[in-house]
Amino acid sequence: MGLVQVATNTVTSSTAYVDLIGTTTDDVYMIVVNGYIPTSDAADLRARVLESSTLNTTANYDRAFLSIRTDTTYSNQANTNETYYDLTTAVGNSTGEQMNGIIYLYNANDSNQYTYLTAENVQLSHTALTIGNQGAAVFTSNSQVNGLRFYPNSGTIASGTFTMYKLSS
Amino acid sequence: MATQEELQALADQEIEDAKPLYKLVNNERLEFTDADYAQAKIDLGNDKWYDQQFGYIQARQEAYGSVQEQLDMQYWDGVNGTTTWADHIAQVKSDNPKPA
Repeated sequence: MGLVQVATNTVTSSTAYVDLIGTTTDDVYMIVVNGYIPTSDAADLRARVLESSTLNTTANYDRAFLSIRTDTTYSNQANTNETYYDLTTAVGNSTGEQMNGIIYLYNANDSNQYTYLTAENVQLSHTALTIGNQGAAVFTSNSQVNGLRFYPNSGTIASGTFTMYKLSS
Repeated sequence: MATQEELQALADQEIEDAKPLYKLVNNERLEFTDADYAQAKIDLGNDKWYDQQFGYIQARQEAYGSVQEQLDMQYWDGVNGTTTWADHIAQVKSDNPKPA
């Protein structure tokens, strides 16, 4: 099994969202987010699916995440029927603060199945708190998903590299 | 407390003030389309409403001491006849009030 790069976007100046397009086969896809820094302090990174490169904003996003924190034990981040995936917890943008993580996408290309994802990331929050987010999410609609859109919940993306790979057998 | 319409108006203005906004699609940097701006306004308006109505939940979760800290407070309250734990909980609730 090998990794085949499908798409990559490198943000170097204020950008409101990033589209990663290319889940065109029934393989598993891996997305690497490296060095996400928001322009607004404490901005979460969110994601939505793209169908034929068109954004889906319906309330079909379920997620169950655990935030492992250095200031307290942990916190559950779980929601059903949201209109987006929330992947982080208030990422900071002061010196050294950013988020890095990996997402695996399953069944995206299959129009007869829900799209599943697992995700893990590490971040420094706006209070320089180290947080590890680990979890999973499901887009509860039988549809053909051809990519993901990443965007912050406030402000824009200041920098970061978003790369999608296909796990080819 | 602001109505949803008032918050949406604020969101609309914030997006207008933030123009131009850009997106990156397969590494090509493009200015937002009208549809992108419309969606950004909806999202920001919804976020403002959600934060106003439910933001206190997350804020309280982050402000409460850990289970270990709270158990320690309760132990020493029992020993000393103090109200440290109850005061802590009340303070967190007071600092992060539930919308009326």
